[in-house]
Amino acid sequence: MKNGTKHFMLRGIWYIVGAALFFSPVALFQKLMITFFHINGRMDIHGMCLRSSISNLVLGKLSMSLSISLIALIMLTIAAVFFGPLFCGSLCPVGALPEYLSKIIPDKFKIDWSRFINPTPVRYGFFAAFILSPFIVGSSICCAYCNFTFFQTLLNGGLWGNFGILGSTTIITALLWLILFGLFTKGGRGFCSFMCPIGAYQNLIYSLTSKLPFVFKLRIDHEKCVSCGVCVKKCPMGALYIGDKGQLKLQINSCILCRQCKAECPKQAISYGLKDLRKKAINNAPES
Amino acid sequence: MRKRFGFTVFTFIVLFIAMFGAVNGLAYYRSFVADERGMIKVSLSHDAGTYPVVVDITKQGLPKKIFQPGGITVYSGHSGGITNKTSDDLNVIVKFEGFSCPVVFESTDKDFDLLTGELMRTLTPNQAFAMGIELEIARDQLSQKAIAEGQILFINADNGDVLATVHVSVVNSKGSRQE
Repeated sequence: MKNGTKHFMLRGIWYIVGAALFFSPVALFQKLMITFFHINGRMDIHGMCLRSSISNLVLGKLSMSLSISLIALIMLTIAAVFFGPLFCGSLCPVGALPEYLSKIIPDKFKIDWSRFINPTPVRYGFFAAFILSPFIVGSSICCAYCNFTFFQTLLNGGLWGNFGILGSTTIITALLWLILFGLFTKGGRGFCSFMCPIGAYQNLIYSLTSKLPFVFKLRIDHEKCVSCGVCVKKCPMGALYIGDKGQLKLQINSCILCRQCKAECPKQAISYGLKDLRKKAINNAPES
Repeated sequence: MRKRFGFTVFTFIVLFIAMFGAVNGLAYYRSFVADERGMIKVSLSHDAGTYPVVVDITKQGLPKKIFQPGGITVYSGHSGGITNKTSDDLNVIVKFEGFSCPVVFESTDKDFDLLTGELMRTLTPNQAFAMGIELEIARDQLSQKAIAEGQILFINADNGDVLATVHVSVVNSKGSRQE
């Protein structure tokens, strides 16, 4: 089995772990927090709502009283500082579902948005509106247009047709998340690219901290890279592209560190880690 | 090489503003369809107040009209909404009556029993809980002016006294009167 396929399947297992950790009926993370910290909270994704926590944090309204949401936000932020948006690329089943479902649709029916537009301004335009819409139009989209809620709905019975009562905004979310930006988008992660505040938050932090030497980073060895474009084709976020001079480039603001590119690269030109550790490994290697 | 929109400063700003505007538009639409659910805020008291709530299906957004026009929710909101305004601890049970369509309880409160309508914890003064009901109305009934009607009763489980009544009406303001 090819490395890329193996990695794709391994990621799938981790996304299932993520679903068991954060979503009912299992919600292991919430249960652990309630058991060990004796916090009162809901045992589903709403019990650790990252969207409202991020919104409150940016607006300076975050309550510092101990809650599952606060603990989750702290862990997410620390991970983003040192490792990047690992939650997105390694644990979040909500982004993964349309990515994996999109594999059933042939590529010729999909839109490759990253061919036409830079996803970064779209992503941060969404994030800015996510934060400011309560002040501009008097209405928040924190709960409306939430794909995490719809994923929870699917797990609560929606998978076998029992969706409960849906509002217009939930229906629009489902159509955007699963259909337009899911099945019919190259990579299946259009919603992650354009409409997820959690990913935008992590990438914003990481775009600043990645300049520090002690932060894990995706690196391209341009001496090994032959610009074959396999990683560009396989990237679910469209974060990689071949630049004007034929050199492979990474848009760090769009990368979710799924490391599919690393697994797919036939020349092993892409790595993820600490620069110093790599240098140390090379220096300490026994002489041949 | 293919030119992509958004890689110059000007086009970056244009895309940013376009998405910012579009999302604010989505937020505005959300406020426009907020009346799809009936919202209730109830004070439980010995005076047994009555709270009318009217859900007009003509205010549903287009997606809901297409996919699920007969699914109606009457809800107090996630953060509470049903508040003990007495000076006593209350054991509350909720019942609904009078509806001609299937009705189920809905609640995000883990102490609310969705089958029996019983709140499994004692409600202290000024404490609140969240609950609601979901109605499934057949499509052929939606063209009538008066579609469904019923009541939600909040009852003191210790002595059977009614603490509050929510009178629910589902209407179609552009519908035809039933003959």
